Amino acid sequence: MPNRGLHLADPRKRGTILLLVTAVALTIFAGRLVELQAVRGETLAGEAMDQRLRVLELPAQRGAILDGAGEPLAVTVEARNLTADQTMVTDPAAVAAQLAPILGSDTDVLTARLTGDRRFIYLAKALTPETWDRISELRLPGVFSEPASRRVYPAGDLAANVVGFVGDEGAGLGGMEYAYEELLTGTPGEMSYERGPGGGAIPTGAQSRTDAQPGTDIRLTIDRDIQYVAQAEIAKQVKKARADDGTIVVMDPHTGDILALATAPTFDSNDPGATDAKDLGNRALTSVFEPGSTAKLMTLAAVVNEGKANPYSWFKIPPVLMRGGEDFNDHTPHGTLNLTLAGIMAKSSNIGTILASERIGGKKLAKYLKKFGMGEKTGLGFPGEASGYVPPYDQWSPTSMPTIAFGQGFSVNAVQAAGVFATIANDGVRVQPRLVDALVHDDGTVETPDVAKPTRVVSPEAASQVRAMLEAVVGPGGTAPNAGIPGYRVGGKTGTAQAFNADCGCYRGVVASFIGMAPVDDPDLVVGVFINNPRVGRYGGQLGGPVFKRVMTYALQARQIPPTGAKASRLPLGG
Amino acid sequence: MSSAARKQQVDAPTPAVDGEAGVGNSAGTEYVTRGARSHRIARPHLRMVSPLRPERASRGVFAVVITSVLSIGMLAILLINTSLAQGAFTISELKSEQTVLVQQEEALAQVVAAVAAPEALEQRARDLGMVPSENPVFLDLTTGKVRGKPKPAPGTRSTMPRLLTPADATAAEGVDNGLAGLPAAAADQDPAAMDAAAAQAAKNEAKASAAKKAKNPNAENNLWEDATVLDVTRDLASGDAGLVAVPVP
Repeated sequence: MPNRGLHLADPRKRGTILLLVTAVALTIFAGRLVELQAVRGETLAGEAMDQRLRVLELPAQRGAILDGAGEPLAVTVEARNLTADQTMVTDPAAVAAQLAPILGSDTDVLTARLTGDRRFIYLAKALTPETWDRISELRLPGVFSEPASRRVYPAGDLAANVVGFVGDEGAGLGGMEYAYEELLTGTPGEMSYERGPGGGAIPTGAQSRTDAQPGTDIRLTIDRDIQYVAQAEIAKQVKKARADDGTIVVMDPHTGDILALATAPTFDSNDPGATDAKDLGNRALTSVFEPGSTAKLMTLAAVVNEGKANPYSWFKIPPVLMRGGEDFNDHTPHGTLNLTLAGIMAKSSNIGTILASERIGGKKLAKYLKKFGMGEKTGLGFPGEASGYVPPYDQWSPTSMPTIAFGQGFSVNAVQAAGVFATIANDGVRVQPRLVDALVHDDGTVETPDVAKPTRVVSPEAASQVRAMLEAVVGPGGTAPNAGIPGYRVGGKTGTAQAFNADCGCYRGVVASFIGMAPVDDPDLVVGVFINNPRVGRYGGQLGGPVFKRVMTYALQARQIPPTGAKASRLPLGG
Repeated sequence: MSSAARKQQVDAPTPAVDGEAGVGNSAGTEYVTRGARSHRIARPHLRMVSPLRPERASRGVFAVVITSVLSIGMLAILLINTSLAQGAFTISELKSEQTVLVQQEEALAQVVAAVAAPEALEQRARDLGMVPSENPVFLDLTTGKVRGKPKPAPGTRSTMPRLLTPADATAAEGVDNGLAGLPAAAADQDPAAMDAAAAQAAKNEAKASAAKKAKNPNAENNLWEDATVLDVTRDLASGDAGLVAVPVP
């Protein structure tokens, strides 16, 4: 009986339909395949790669700051930041109770930080790896760590005013840490890898790595031991004299290397927050003052260099001198005296200095001040460095010349003041002071920063004669007999300068100073001591002399400088 | 084609048997007797085909070869992947070991830096009884001359550990640091007397400087008195040869 309809019983028909259905299905699959592979292929592969690819920043190790011998003054060490996932902390109080003794922080504060539903919060930063090991042994749920780094200053407050300090983020905020921030930071690197579901890297996956470029190490000229002695001595003297602050500068006059730059009060770079902001700087370079009698060295050196006088030249010193409508006195009253130029230096006579300066005149004096570097930046490039101020010659009033001749009426910083003596110690050649000895790059190359060319200020003969006068200051009849060192020839100059007080706009208090060199016939060291506004004691010789003696004694030993063995010169001072 | 014709084709090789359709083969023509018509059909010439064995054999070898290549390849992939994973494992193990060692090194370096800091050194030196030298004195090794003015440093001797001589060692073997059971000093060396002498010298010096200070409470004030005294002990041979005395009117 013939069937109507589909004839499905017919195997041939069944086969055909099956074939059709299969063909349609396969066509759909093929189409989808083409769509996924060809049309959207790259996009999808890209998305998958994004999912797997993890890019890590490789932090660059911050460069170290070293002293002249390569010992570290500032280094970066590994640390750990303690983090917490608040959603995983079931009992904040218990966890806080366990953490508080290890971290040394308040239990309540920690409990508050552990409560909530934030997935990531910092509990503590810059922990030592040992502290983290102790915490991780507790296996507290929800408490994790991430690697970090910490800046450590192994020597505490040693040269802290020069080295500076860093902030929370590790960026330099003061001193060398700030001045050389880019060089110290280096360049971070990058590492990318494909991350499997477990978190580990897929070994056959795409990988790339750019190594981080560590920061450059900065090697300073500072000698750790001399710096330590200088810091200890100035701190002691500032305390004893109940002064506002004090500074010591120790320099090598031939190379300009600053071996010590100490200020008191100072701070500990490991904990800058513990000190007043005003004490976090480097007064040796940022503070300016009128140098007073130590600047007489410039005036008298200029007079000798110009050939207008020599240490044996005689001057008649009246008890008072009127110039430009003002009376000028010496620090203690006297009658009319006969002094040699050496006597004027040894006894620090203002009137004698004015009379001597009049032999060269104001214009030449201004020129010499400039040649000695007054009013110009030292070239150290220290942040916040003050350049001091000398009024230009064409603005001088009739009283300017006598005042400037004995060291008032212009301002300098401590390094500039000591630099004058370094020039005389270096046979009249002024070299630029240096704080940075070398930059040591990661690949081992050592780069020495450029310095300005040395300039000649006075002739070697003039310098030698002036040094003999400086020796008279420390000898009998001078203003600083307590600055002498047995066995050595020492020379220097005292200063008791009027200090300008900005609060009252007047002169109040003094800056007591002593700057000297040894051995004076062939000096290898210059030490300057400056004590600002002492309340106990007043004079440069009285306050600065003993500190100079102790620091210079140590520095001579540290630098292995023997006495020259020559006999002290005995210049006539007066008659 | 019609089912009848197909049937004819199918039945083509059957031998002719009277009245019946049958199956068989024979050479030559035969008569197909199905249905009403019987006619001659040219039967295709049949021949013997070679046995299948060689084909079957080469197919087998081929399969084995392919299978073995596949399995070797997959084995190699497996081995390579395993070793890569092993390598990654070793890397992470070594990395964590390195981290631990770096931490140890840094901790030790910090300890060294703290102990080597000048402040710590000074404290340890003072604990040993050392004092800073008040004036530097140098011994010139080439000439044997002493340069500078040597004088004993202030400080008490009693805190200083005494250096043991070889003779002491035989007598006091086993004593730790030589601080206990010190042998008696040699006859010509009297530590107590030397201590007393040093203390007396220090006292004398202090007295002298105090007296000087009493005379000059403020050195600056008496400066001008010295101005009347002409200091004529200048020694031109002292190295200031460059100085020329030029009196200026």
